[in-house]
Amino acid sequence: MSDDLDDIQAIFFEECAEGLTTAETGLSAMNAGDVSAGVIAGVFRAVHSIKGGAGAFGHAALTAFSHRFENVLD
Amino acid sequence: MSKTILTVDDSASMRMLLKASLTAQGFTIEAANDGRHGLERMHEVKPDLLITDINMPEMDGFELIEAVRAVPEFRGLPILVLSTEFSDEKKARARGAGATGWITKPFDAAKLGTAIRRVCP
Repeated sequence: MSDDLDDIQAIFFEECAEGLTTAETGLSAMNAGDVSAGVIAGVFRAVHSIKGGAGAFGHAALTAFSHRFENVLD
Repeated sequence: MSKTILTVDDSASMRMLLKASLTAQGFTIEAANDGRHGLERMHEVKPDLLITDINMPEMDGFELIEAVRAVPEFRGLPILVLSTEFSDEKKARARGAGATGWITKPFDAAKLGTAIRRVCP
């Protein structure tokens, strides 16, 4: 399954890039004063998704970082 | 006969990982990318087990479980939550909505298989 796993991990990295874009957009909106529940939830979901994949693929540092990031948003 | 499992998760890589892990253990896997899509797929697939994430756009896992349990033919269906969340408050909320069990991500494929066979013999 290692070839499969590499392919799946490549998709996870693409998801990370999308998630970071989503988080950046949301954080920029928050920085501009929009702290609505929807904006915060969008950033949270993006970071949460990165945490889930990071754990699945064994990226401990990324898991720990995204967990702390989540706690700040929670 | 192979058990059919519907997995609901907004992450494509997580759906693929689940499919690869569980297909290798003899299960038939169908997938949906959020709660709303999951509810539609429930009626098409009529699975033996539902595995759902919690944090999803459109309809989250709690709402999906409540919606599934509201359908008479799915009242006895085993439902496992698979989430990075692990708070007692969220687990209690899932149980209240009708979840059968809770497994925390990252999951161990063999242990997930064991949990599935326990709730879906």
